[in-house]
Amino acid sequence: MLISNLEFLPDQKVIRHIGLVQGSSVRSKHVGRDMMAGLKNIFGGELKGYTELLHDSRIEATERMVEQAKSIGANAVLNVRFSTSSIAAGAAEIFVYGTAVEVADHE
Amino acid sequence: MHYENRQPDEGLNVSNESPLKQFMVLGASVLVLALVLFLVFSFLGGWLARFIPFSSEVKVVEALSIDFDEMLESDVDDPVFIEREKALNDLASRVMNHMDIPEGMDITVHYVKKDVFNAFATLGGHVFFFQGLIDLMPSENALAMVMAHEIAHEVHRDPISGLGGGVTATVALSALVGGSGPVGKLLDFPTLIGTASFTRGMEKKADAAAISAVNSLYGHVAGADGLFSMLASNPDNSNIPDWAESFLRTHPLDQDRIEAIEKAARENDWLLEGDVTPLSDVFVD
Amino acid sequence: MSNLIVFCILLLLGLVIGKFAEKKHLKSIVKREHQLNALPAIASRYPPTGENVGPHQQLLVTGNVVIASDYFKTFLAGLINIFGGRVTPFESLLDRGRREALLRMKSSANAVNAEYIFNVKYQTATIQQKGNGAIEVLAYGTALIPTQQVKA
Repeated sequence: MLISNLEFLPDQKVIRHIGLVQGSSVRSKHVGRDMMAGLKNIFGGELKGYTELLHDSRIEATERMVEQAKSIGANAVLNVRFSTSSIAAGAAEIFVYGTAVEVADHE
Repeated sequence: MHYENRQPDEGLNVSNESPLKQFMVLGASVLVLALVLFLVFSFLGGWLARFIPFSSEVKVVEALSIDFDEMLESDVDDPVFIEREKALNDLASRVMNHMDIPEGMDITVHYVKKDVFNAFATLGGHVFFFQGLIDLMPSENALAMVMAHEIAHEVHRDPISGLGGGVTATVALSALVGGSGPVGKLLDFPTLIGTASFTRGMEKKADAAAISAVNSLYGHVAGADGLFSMLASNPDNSNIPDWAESFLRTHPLDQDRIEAIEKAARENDWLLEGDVTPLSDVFVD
Repeated sequence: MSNLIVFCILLLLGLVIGKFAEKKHLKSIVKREHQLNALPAIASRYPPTGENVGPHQQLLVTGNVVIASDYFKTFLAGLINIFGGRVTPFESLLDRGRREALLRMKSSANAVNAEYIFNVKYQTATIQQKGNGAIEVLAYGTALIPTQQVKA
């Protein structure tokens, strides 16, 4: 599955647009990580736990989007966008969406 | 087409201001602003609180059903306690005969058998006298002066005004800045409520009313300054310079109070000399 | 009173350690920016096309970082909030976040021998955490990886 945030593929031809596909993932950290983050809020610096959490979340959301794309018979998702919204203390929703397309002579 | 990333100059997206300086300036401004607002609100609240009728104030205190004797751990069955409390109330009614007491205002004097140098007036016409203060009284005239001073606070509605001012200022300030916000951390609100006491103006007014009552009661003002003279000649062991103390504390300095008594006597042609009534034996162990 | 002492200690810790950490981070950012300078990250949506451009494989690359503000910065920002104006303590925080995220995206593109990254987008989100400021910056774009090093 080809995923790109470009709107077209320079070397390949898009045969048809199949629809909007999306994936989402809401996650939060366990209390221990939150406490570490609380400490970090005194000294400043990177909250590695949250960086990883959001990174994993994004992978999961992307996988879900790819599942959607596969289920409607697409072989590429173009113009992919990410969006993040924090919905509660320490929990964030990662949302990823794009256009599912069918590309000629891919792979 | 050629693509490259050139490095722009460093620090174009950040300000070069010193955060520490900014912190000092802003912190000081916030403190000054809060202080001004606090004074304004406590003045406003204190002024408004005087409009609350005394009867409502009494009702509120009754509704709280505070047992003052229990709170102060007084032994109400102790004959000495009963005798002394009665003697204080008798003195209070004698003093009150020479004061302008508003219609419907009752003063209840509570005796506290504790070695604490204190006397105070609080909501609902309740006045408290501690043994530690009575012990230092050189004469009845001096005790009557303090008694009249505390009653004058009640007459002037100072307790409710002080509380009203303190509560108004605290509520208004915490509503403005939020207790948990950055300023809320700087200003400790519960502590602020505690500082809601009588202002120096209130104390001076109470002193003026008290000296007039004492003059009217005894026919002279001799001995009225007894307590203050003693305190002035025995400066307590505080290291605070006089000017700072006179600025910080709400009660006027003892020396100033003695002078105020003398000045009032001169202005009104009151007698500075006269027979001083000794303190009743009831108060002596 | 003890509250005030704790508060002052936290402020001081935030100021001293926060400043030190910030300087160190910025230094490392500048160093890595030089190392990855050869890989262009471009905000344009249109990749090069034409006869002399070889075939490319595309890959979505991302880089993210969550950075917390220190106690001093958070407090100072709160003070500035009262009077309004430029919230200077957060400027450097956001600046570091954006650059770090871009660097992480670039280095993941570099790991797969990308030639360019096109359509680079940033996204910033606040991570609510008991009233204290932490931000997440995500940088993403499409890495163009030459399929074969076909040289004419």
